[in-house]
Amino acid sequence: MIPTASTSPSPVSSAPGIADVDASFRSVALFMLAKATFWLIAGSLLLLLTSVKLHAPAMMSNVAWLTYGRLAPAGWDALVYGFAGQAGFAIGLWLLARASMQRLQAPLLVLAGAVCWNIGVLAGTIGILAGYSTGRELLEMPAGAMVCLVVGAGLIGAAGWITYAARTRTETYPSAWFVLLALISFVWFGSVALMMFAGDGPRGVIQVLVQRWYANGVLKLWLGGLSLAVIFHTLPQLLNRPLASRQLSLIAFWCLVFFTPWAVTAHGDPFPRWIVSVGMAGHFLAAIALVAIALNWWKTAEGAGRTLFASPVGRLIGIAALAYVAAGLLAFFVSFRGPASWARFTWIHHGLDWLLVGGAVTLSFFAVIPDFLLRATGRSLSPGLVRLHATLSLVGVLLIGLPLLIGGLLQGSRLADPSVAFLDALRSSMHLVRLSSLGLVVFLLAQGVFGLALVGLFRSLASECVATLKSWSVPISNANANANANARNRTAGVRS
Amino acid sequence: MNSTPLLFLGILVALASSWWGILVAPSLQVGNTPTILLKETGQHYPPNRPGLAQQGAAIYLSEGCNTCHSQLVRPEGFGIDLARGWGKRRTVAQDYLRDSPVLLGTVRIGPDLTNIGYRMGAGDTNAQPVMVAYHLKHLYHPRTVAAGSVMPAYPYLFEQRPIVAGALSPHALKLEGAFAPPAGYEIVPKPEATALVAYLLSLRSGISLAEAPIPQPPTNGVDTASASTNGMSAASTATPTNPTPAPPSSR
Repeated sequence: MIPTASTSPSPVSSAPGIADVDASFRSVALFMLAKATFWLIAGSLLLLLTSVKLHAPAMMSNVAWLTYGRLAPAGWDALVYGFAGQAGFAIGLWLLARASMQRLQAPLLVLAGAVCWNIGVLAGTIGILAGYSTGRELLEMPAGAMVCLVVGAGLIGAAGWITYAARTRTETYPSAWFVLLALISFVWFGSVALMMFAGDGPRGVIQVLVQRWYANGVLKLWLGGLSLAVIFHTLPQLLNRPLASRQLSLIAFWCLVFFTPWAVTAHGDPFPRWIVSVGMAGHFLAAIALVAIALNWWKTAEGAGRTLFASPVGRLIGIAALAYVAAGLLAFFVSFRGPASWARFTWIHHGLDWLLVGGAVTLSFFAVIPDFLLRATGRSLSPGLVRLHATLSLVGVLLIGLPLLIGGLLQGSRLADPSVAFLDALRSSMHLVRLSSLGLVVFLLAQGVFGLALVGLFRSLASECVATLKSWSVPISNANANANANARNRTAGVRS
Repeated sequence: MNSTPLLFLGILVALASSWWGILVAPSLQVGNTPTILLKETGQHYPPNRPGLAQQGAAIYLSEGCNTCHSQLVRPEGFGIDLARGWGKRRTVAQDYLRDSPVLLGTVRIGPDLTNIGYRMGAGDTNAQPVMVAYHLKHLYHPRTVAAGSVMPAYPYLFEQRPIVAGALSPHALKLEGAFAPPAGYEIVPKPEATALVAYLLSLRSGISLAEAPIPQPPTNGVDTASASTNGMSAASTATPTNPTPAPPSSR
């Protein structure tokens, strides 16, 4: 369980209590997390089906909607936008409100944004499955669906910034900075990409630059930012000690914001040479942020590793932090010319995606969702199911990501030898891809368990509602009975 | 960090700087790049795709072929794309001027398709029907031509229909064994399959460019690339000759 109080608060008078702040998230938490869980299960199922089709390519090949090239982006987008983005927005707003010691402002704006967001994800997923993909990674959804996402994120982001502006605490916290960054990031990257692709779109390879700039920004600043906020908030609380260095967080934050969006090119890309060089410089400068973040976490958790990994929440946060740093370091490493020559275009690409989105983002969110629901609704998820979910998710994510990374190494090393046929190089890694499919089974199972736990919470809330309604109806029926008795008496009096 | 408007502006300025630097400035350069006039043919490079191939590009997109196939040949020393025979030279920005969307791809679960239109007997006019038949069979069921392939089959791009008047239609696939249709039936491509194959065969980046010349064996001491003028005209139309058709996915 995460401790309630944040470090060294300095509340201004008339500030709401922390319980008031939490309670202001009741409807937002219930709505957004229920929808996010639906997309989590749907996305995992689509990705499992995608993975199975690699081993049985002729399976269900008569159904155009279920062909590999449509299933893969639909499943990934459902997971990224439907689950991670939606749950991340809800959790991020909660952390922001707690750090600001202020109730969520304009909750209706958030709910309207969430409705818009879900319409976008639904239309986008169906659009991709129906064959209306744009073919641009992470931007595959048809433009109409993307507009819904950007508008939804804009409404949610506005509520977040209004809440922050109304804060009753004078200090600001690193977790709040990263949430604020994430709230701007999606709207910025999404709207610029939409505008640049409007009409005929930019010419030639600039289209690739726009797509990569969007995908990089969305993964590293939006989802990555939300994940950083969760880890920066939770790690010190779990260990019951302050964050090692606020200055280091500040450096990390501004390096991340300024330099990460530039790191979009790789050696050998068909862009004019100066663009590749600028992108490579971006990779180097963005690495400063990664080092500052890793150093800060390391100093904060120094000597307390055993304490951290002793609890299920600690394990999730610890592994999420490790996955974040590992994903960043590996991505930096494979951007160099030597490693890029054999690591590009292999399973390593998918492995890195899973390490960041599955490892850092998803696991860090899973760590705080039970506590968020408890504080926002006053009802807890079944502790047994939560523990099982945490363990299965952890095993699932590692079992998906690590085999893909190792399989990519194998595939890349074989591909680097021109005497090895392409298909043979691919086959040499397929046993590891099978292992990652098994990981997807475990991951899907975990999300089924979480779905059950959430259904339990909703049933408990529903029975609470029924009980409340009954308690209202008792005095009413008593009052009716009294009124009837009086009427009878009056009638009897008149007769007499 | 304490001033909300300043923090908002700071983040926005940081994000806008990357937009300007990595997107707007390159757009100004690539947006102004002209197509190349080929002296030999009087045509421009890259050429506009024929209508059928353009329809095929839409099918390529709709089926998500770019999920597994790249369209990018990296230069020597940055990977072994050239040694695998995926192209005679690296691809550069010029090659993609007329593509929309540009589908470089991110993962190669299947081989690169940049020059798939060249790979089987290009230059030999008789090879065209062979290439079309090969790709159609490959799309109908990849394992008919590439044993152990992990590529999905696309039977919904084809139609199974009764054979009329006891003779196969001219475009019917010649399938054998387990892949053959039931007796009295034939498999013919729908327009989508024909268009997709036309698109695949239009994928050719074989013109020698000043910034990416095709290395030529030093015959008579003439360097093809040096014949270009102003650094923009193509030196020659490289016509890769590969008289023996080979399965494109073998490398």
